[in-house]
Amino acid sequence: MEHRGIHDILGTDPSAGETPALVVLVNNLADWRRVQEEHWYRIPLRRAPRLAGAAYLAFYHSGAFEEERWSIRWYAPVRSVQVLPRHMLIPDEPAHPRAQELYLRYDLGPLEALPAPVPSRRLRRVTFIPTTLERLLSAGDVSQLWIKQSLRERLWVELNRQGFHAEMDAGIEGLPDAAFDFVVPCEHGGVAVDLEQGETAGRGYREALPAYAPADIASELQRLGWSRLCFERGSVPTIMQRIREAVDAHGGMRLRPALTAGR
Amino acid sequence: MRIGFPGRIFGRPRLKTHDGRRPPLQPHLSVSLLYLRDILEYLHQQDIRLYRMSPYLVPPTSAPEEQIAECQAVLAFVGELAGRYRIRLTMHALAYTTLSTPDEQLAERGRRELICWSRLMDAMGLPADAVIVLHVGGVYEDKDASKARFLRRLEALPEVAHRRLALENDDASYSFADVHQLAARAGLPVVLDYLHFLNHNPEDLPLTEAVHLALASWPAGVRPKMHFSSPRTELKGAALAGAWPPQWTEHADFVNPFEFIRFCESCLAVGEADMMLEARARDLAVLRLKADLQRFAPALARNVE
Repeated sequence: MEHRGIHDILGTDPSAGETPALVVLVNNLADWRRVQEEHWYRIPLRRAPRLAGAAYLAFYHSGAFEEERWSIRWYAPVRSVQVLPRHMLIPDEPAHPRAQELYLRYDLGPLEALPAPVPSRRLRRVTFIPTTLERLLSAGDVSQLWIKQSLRERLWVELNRQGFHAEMDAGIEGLPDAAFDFVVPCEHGGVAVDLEQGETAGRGYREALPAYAPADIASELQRLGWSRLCFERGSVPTIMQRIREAVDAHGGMRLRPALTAGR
Repeated sequence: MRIGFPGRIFGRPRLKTHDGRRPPLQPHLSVSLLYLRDILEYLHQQDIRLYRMSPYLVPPTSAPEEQIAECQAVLAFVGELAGRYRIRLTMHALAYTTLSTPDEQLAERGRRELICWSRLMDAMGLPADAVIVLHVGGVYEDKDASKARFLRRLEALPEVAHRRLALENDDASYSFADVHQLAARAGLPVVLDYLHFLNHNPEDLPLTEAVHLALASWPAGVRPKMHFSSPRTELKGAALAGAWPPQWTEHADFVNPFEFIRFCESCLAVGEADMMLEARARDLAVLRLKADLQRFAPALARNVE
């Protein structure tokens, strides 16, 4: 038996171990001059992204620039961060309407050029992109910088949050060689949930199991009184709604244990 | 009752707990604090009101006090945010932060760390319930001598550090009874660790009595805090190395809700203590337990903040 701890199961974030970087917008020459010459950048606190912490800032130039526009070419290490009102950041604009507003000021090290510019070919409007330095150094397009937590992980969090008695990577009694992303035992049978197409790819899990053809699984599950929900994509609330409806159709959750452990 | 967890976030794994860059890359406290701000936003979104900050928040530089001085505004901002979200923040000393050791250099390092963290918490404007939890440490072949060293060094701490400390029982050397006695002499509150207590209670003290003593050790106006976890029970092993049974001192991934409910209902009055879950699934364990309480103990769930 291979022991799989929680860190093995959940430590699957695609950016784990990478260096946090934040792509920010530069849309005027004055701000770019401050980055280049004074080595700092500011974000109004009320507009700061949920992931404002970063070891590096990278700069996406808007259409206001001729040569660099709609691309990321430069990045800089974050040396420190300050929280200051605008009038202290820009003392020569004391009467500015937002003079008292608080800003995050990122103090930066020297600018460094990316090995290759990262263009935005679809010219998408960019404000903030929390990403990683490793992605910045290898991306071919801005669209490759977004890191999404996998649907599987988000669904596991939500199942826990909503109190579902679900089990992850679990089997079903009477079907010993099959495993599902999640199973929810119900009063009458239960609901097995699978996320297809890449959500579990590369996890080295299913490959180790004897293959069940989908049709076999469906008929076996039906024989045991279970349903299988399969999602290729979809929002977590939508999937949760489908799971809840399926669980209700099976008489609601069963509280006594009825699962085979893991694999 | 607030239910919280320490350190790493599983619900949003990209959240960092501290600036982990190595010293040549100039890690900075302010960057750690911005990561903490991101965590506070997540905790608020998930309705989690108790959190143990990383012990590595202050980077390992030669002048941590200078970084604290440089970061006054960011510290105040993050502390104010925690207050606005009603999130109780605490810290836990590292294993090597020991005041009972015969090694004077190690003890001095621990002393400096406790002072540094206390100043950090003061600069954040955190209230008195933001405690630093400390173990007594090793026995070093002479428990009485170790206890004496521990007390002597506690008494020598500056007030700024002393008033933030709370002592915790461990699962091998210093039982709850030991720790309670030391804490009473030092004038410090006690954090009762439930799993440690079950594993190491040579005095055979009843759990209800330990809870009563722990609660009574806290000053008026400061809500006590306890640590709770279920023991890990599964068989462990690896393909080639064989299998071995669990050790009951190890934390389970999640908290057994029935155990938690029984503990709360038999030992605690409503809202009497905050509970830090030392479960390996961290925030996921908190979210799961809160959902479990709503299902199995709705009256208790209504008192969870």
